[in-house]
Amino acid sequence: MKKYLVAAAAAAVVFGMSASDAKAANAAAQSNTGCGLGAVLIQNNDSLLAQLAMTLLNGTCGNGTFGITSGTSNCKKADKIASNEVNTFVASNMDNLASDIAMGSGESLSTLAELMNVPTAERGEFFATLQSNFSNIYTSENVEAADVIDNIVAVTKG
Amino acid sequence: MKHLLRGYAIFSRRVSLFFCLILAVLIFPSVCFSDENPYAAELKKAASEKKLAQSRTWEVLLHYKPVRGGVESLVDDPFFFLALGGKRNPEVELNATIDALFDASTDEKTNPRCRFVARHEWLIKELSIDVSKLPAINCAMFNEAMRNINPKSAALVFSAAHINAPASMFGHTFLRIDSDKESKLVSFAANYAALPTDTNGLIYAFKGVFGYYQGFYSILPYYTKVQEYNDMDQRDMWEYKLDLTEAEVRMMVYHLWEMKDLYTYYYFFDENCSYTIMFAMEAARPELRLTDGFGFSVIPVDTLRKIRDSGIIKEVEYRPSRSSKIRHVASLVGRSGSKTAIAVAKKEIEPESVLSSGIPATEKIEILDLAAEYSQYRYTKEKMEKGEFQRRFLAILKARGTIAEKSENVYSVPTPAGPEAGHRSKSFSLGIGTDSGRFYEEIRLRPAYHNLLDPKEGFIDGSQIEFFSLGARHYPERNNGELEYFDFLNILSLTPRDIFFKPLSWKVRTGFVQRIFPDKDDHLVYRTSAGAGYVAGFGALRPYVTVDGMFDISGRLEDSYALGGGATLGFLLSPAGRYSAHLYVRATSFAFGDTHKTYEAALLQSVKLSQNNSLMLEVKRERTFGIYSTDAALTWRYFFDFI
Repeated sequence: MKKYLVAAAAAAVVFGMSASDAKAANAAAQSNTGCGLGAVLIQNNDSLLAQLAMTLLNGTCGNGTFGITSGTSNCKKADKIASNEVNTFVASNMDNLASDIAMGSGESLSTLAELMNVPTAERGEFFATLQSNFSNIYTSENVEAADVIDNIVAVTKG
Repeated sequence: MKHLLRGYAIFSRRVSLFFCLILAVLIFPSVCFSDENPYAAELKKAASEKKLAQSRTWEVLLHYKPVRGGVESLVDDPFFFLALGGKRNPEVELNATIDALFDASTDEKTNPRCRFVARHEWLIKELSIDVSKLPAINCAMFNEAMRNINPKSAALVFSAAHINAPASMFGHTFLRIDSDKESKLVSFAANYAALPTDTNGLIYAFKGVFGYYQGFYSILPYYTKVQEYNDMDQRDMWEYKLDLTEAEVRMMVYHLWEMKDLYTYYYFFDENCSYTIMFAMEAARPELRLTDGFGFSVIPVDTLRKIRDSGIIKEVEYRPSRSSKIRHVASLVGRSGSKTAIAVAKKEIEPESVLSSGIPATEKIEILDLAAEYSQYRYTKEKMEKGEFQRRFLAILKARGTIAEKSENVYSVPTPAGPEAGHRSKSFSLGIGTDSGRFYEEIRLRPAYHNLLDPKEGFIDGSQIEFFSLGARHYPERNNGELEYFDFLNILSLTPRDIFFKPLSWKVRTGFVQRIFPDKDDHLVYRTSAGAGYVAGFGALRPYVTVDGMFDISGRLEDSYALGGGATLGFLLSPAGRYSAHLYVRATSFAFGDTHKTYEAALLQSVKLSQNNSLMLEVKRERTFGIYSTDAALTWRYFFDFI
């Protein structure tokens, strides 16, 4: 009995780690797309084999694309701002931007201000207005990037 | 289809050139060049007089490296070369590039002037070419890309390993191309990586090491890389602004454009991401010699040191990963505040209850921010469904938005020691010791990378990655030398669990090692061992326990093998400063093959003398086949590299 317990432990550890777990080893990021909150890359790489594969193959994963053209987002565009840059940036940074707006500061928020051509001197006020209007910008959990932009324009216009 | 067409266009040009060359050499040189543009002939003559084919810039742009009997380009894609034989002949390639200046074809995907912009830009400058004598071309895609990138300056980015993902400890480097915008998130990242085509882990590893995968450059918005490393992989990032002029950065981007869609075989150890990306930096300033002098392996942090030593790094910025932010804010709010934040993130309590509690506003901010970050972390680790995440995240942020204070006024994550502050990657050790009363001298060599007890600045505490580590001993008494061990791989990751993160710690080792046999002497076996377990963290002390498996192969063993399992109990002590210690006991019962038991206890200690010198004292006692042995050694370790 004891012998089999030991064997089971040994087999589980030695072979469990070298058995090929295609999903983990490939470490392919699953893209959780969408135009709302939670549209981010999801990759669960906590498994032992994924860790080992990461060590052995550090940096070997990638894609060969040149994503230079602006306005590649598949999300609908805001009515009030036509800029591809603004629309793409908000759609691609929904979660971090929401966080920054609620927290009143952060890089995603500063980037949005720059893309919207908010003068540096007025940014403090811009950030404060967005923070205090958080519920008016993110009106529901199903809010999409285009709505967020339109709501931002609406709360900062007056 | 487009690819085929492009291939055909380049191929046909090359075939005609090939026949030209044959004819030129063998029969009628005048026939061949008679229809050549006289201006092209003039330019070739000038290029030849200026020895442009031997110039450093040409060498850099074509990735030529010296080989026996000449040079050879590291780029493998035939479409990268305009001349047949261009991979090994800079002269022929240069002349073909001059000919290509007169290519009047309108498809910009195949027109070499739209494809190989850096080469042509450089030639036009070097030969003071009168552009009005060249066919007018319109490279609309290229021009649009340049408008979008708007290159002004550049930074080298190092994505370090994170404590929660110790396997990533080699790091990764890529470039960031900045426009005149203040916000760097909307800059572009230029990255080189392999495109793996297999899903089986072992095939994947084999092909990655032996160059079966093609590597490509890519250019993407920088925020996608930040999300990938900071938010998803939990890796800290370091950004090193480069002291390059606008014209130099433009050349860098032109060269990246030249490399678009063209492959170079990827080799994990040398022609890897960090090595290949340096060609883009050399293209910016050819006098930099970054891709020279590396031995058989290139480790990202070594390239970082080499780039630093070249003097082009201006300033450094630290970009903490999400889990670094979580750890920092958690350290501010303490254990009870952290528990509240976790409860909010897990929907056990509502964020409004934090708002209505009597704690100071700064503490409310910290707890709610921590809850928001942690719910994002849990979502990326697939601990929450999307709908559940959206509702929870929004509820937390709504509550947070009601406190009109900027988080950046409340806290910021302090900058730790940068990766370049660590010891060098290779090590050489000299030691003396006794093995059950027999005196020995020992040398050790390790081409990569870090031992648990090596100086810890710039590395993750509790982690170890050793490749091809070798130890050899000389016993003067018997006047014999023997291989003590040769590990192909020896990885150990002791990552403590806390209330936010629950990592599984693990180890794996495979290689030759001396072990005791019933004849009371040491003999070499091939050993593979692995283990997994939990680590706790009490400040600098990390107790741990792992369940292990061990597999020994040797003709001296009964049935030539022994397979068993066991457990390790250990303590890692790693206080700030120079001292580290590791104490462990391990019991293994070999239940298959040659059945027997082995017990070990060891105390390993090290003191850092300087960034690249350390001293180790190791004592081990072991009982195998009922035979006791004791080993004690004092070793000096020196860290170095060749670059």
